[in-house]
Amino acid sequence: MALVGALLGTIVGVLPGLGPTSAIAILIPLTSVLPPTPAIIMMAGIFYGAMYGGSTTAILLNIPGEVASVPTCLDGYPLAQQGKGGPALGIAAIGSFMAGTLGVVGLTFFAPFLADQALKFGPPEYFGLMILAMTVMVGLSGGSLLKSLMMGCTGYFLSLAGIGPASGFPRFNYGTVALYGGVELISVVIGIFAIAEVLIGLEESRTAVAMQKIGSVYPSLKDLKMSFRPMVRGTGVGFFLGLLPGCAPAVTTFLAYDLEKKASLHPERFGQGAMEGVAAPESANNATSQAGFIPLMALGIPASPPLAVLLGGLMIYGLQPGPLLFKDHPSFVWAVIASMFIGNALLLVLNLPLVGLWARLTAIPYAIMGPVIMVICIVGAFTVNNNLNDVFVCLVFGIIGYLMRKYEWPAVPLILCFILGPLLERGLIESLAISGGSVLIFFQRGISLGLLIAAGILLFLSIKLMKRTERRVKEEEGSSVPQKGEFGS
Amino acid sequence: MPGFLKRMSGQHAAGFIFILLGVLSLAESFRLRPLRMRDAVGDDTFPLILGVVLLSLGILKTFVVKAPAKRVSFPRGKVAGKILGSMATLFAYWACLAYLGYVVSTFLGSGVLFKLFGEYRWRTCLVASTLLTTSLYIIFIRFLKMPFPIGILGF
Repeated sequence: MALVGALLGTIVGVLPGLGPTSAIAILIPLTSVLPPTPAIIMMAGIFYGAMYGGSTTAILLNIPGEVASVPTCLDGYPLAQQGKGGPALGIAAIGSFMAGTLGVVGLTFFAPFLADQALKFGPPEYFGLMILAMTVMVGLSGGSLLKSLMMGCTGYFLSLAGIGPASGFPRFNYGTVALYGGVELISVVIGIFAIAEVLIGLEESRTAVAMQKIGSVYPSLKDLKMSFRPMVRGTGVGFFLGLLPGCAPAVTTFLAYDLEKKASLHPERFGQGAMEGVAAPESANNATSQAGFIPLMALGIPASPPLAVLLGGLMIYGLQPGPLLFKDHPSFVWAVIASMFIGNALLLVLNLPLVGLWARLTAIPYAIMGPVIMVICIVGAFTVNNNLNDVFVCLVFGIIGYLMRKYEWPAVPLILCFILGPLLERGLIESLAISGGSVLIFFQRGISLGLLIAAGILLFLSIKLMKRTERRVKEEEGSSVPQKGEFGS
Repeated sequence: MPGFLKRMSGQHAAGFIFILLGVLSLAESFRLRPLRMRDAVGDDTFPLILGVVLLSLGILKTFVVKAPAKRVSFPRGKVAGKILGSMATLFAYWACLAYLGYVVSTFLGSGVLFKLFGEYRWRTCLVASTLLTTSLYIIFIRFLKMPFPIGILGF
């Protein structure tokens, strides 16, 4: 059941627009014919299979299968263009396995304790965490802090459209029914990354995605050695932040990527095809998925939308997650935990042999791949909400993404702040509502104060690192303009 | 063309866009203010902060920061035609989805894209678009049971 679930989840996760939430929701009926324990094992397999699947198109085609795969595109796609798509996929698979395994160990030994700690996070702490996450913007600015800030603000602006969190009244919709639900993030991501990339490929008259000969399709020992510490760090970031309800993999993957860039002796390599830039976010992604099971099983709190759907699946079978689940149904809990370990191992066994096959996709002529990617983008954007308006958004942002590439405006701050905007606003509003409007609440609570101080330190370090990188690049290339990655990262 | 428009660079244009976004955000904040349910904060709080920041950054970009020396060049001729043609095809594909349905729109749209990208013969393009449409139909409609538009043709 774990194998079937992981396989189905990977296949669906590869399709852009269909993330883990959709994958579980679509495939739940398939599990209805099974008894509870195998059904839940299969659903769990679908979940982390889908989390991994999103990285395949992110690396090979620059189409993030889900928002959490966006950081993987930043270095994964340049690696594919250099003919190293295979090793990148291999590192993603190995990183996911390692993170998943360590996550299962954490779940096994520390579930109730860690779940209690996560409960100490309230709105001020979430606000502090989002401010900390915002500092990532500086590290991903590609040399122009002003442009990064402006794109970040644009991301916040886009996230405001929809229903206001405090009053329930629509805002920024200008009388348009289509905007009542806000702007769909995955449509924006597909447009800015995938459609824009194809237009750039057309402009450059590319013959194939891989512009260099495809080398070995498996990671070398050097790749593995280089990626080991990023995998461990990514796992740590993803696991501990993944314990917090509402802290989605989309947030942890960006943080893991930025942390890796800061920890690197050559941060200028990031965005140009650094293997660490794939290892860290992919590990964080899977670690967050695993960690999300801890508040789900121990407290009955789903940490993210896919887990909310999974919770629904559990309740269909009469299982009520929470503190009593471990006591009343221990065999079920341990069966699920054991299946996670087996499922992670199976994901690796399943995907590593396929890595060579996937990598060969990058050698297909661009005249064929370009139209295929564009059509898949349209289909992917539609499948998010079965709404043609999302397709329109995708196309508009495809044009905007193309112009951003031409004028070297970084896209990652826009995406990051689009994700963080609603969380930041909710944290701010709820915190100020609790304190009656006093901002001192953020400084009176230990965890919140600690996070804000950490954000200040990280901001200082990020600016310093950015200046140091600029200086180093100028020295190495003797030019007056800093080298920028494809998306200013 | 007015002189100032000729002298306007991409940077200035971008700055004006952000000034406009800032104004929009502030306008929405003022509209939402009376709807506030609590005294301290409401749905207008964030747009107000954001509007001020966007306006400031837009003014900075337009009037303070020096424009980069590097000029951006856009493709011309055949390449420009392909890019514009591709986007026009995609918009037409989107428009046709509701009326012609997913299958016919995908078949036609992908066929035109193959022609634009690869300059293949129409016969080759139609074979490729048939293969692509069939594959996507099997994956999304048969296997995943996604409800795609069927249009006026009923399939």
